[in-house]
Amino acid sequence: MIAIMNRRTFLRATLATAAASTAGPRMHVARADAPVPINEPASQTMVKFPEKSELILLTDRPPNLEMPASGFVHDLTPNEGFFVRWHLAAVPTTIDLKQFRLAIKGHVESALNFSIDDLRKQFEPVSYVAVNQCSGNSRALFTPRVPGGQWGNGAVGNAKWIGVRLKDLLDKAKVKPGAVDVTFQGLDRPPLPTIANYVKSLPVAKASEADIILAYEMNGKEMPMLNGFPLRLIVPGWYGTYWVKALNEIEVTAKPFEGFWMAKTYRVTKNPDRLETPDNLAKDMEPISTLTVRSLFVKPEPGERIALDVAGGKYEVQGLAMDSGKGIKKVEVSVDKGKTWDQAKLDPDLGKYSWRRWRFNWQPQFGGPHMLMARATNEAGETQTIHQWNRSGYARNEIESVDVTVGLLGRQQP
Amino acid sequence: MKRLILPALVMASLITVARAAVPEPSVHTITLPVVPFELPDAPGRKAVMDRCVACHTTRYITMQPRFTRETWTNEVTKMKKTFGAPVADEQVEEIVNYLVAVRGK
Repeated sequence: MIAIMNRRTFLRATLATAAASTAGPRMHVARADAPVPINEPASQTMVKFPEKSELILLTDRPPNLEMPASGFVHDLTPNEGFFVRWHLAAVPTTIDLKQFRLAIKGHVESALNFSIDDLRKQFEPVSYVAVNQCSGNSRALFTPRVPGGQWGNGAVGNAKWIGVRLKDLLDKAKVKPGAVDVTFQGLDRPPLPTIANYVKSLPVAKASEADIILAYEMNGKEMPMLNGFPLRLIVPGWYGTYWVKALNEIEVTAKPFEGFWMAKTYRVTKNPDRLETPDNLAKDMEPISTLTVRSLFVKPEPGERIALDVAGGKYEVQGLAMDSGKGIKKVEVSVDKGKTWDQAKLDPDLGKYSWRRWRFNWQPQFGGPHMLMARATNEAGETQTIHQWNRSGYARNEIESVDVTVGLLGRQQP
Repeated sequence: MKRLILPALVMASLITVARAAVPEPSVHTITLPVVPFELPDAPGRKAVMDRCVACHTTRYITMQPRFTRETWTNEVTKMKKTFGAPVADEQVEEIVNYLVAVRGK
């Protein structure tokens, strides 16, 4: 049986009725200061943080905020609706652009410093649309459940990023022969000295790819502080853990970087679908990297009641598909529990790193309960699995399904 | 002349004060809200408040589904040994007891 996410439904239902009865990772919407019951799922709380619209509160310290399902209607996620994910409690809240400098140092001929203005003036601007997805997006859907930030599907967003090529900066600093990794650190800091700074690394060959940029704008505007103002590393096609926010330090290393956030966390099994079982945990692990191909339903929402005039009436199913940048080749929908699959129609391509909207004209042949399934395949032939599990709840790409009820009104179509 | 200079100086200093009060346009600031939250009461709550809150809100606990004692023990051990949480060996059991009490199965 496929695990089903029905948070959107119960969010909507419970907003209307202020009661909770549906099963799911989060049970009801409550006041932020309502007492927390023992041994019951946590309440879902909507919050408004600076420069952000109302988002689902996971934690306020450090700030971790999820985009509600309504955000998926946009092809480009508005900046204020974009999810927020920080690891360390001391997040930057004040930045003076006159003081801010990005440093490039380490195994280079010349260590350099740049203001945001320098980056804008000295380098060719580059822009593209790319999806940013948290490694742990949809963690709350894994069966059996796994510990960690209990994200639903909303730790993902799609935006147009504008900035400068990392490669251009590395070329200017002149990377010395023998360089191995490039590390990235932002202005966030741990609250205790025993906790490791948030530093991520890329192999020098990856860091030199032309598509990796340092973005100073998001959708044509300054980034919200909580999304990485004033500069964010964009590694399109790779999970958000590499997209270091408030980036101010780049270091080229002459030996492999083994920092905490590479060596101890964000590690996955080496197989492409990141599969293991609770009884047989993988021993051979590697740092998470590229996005697995996946597809999400936007419409209908789980539990939705669809009213049609007659059997065979049309309903447009809609969703989003994404992958690591190889390109979505097709999305297929099954209305018979996976026995047969029909191809959905893809909306125009916004770029290989963007998510891609798909639509499917469904003509339910009978009233009552239905289950819809969606499966995406990319140009490399990578597709989705029927069941996926790993201990950390990373790289979710199990085939998603949605349960709905069709009501036939009994009216003949003209 | 003196009469003219003095008001001019006063004006100049007032302008300086006014400028200092208004943040530079180059400065970008936000103030993070604190969302009120009360961790449920159960034995071990004090140890959790003492040892876990330095790094993160205890909402991290209440957002979790129910887990077995084994899973919770692994989590506390991970926080202590891998992440560097300031938890003494003898505090592990007390914290695990609390977690099992509020999110156990």
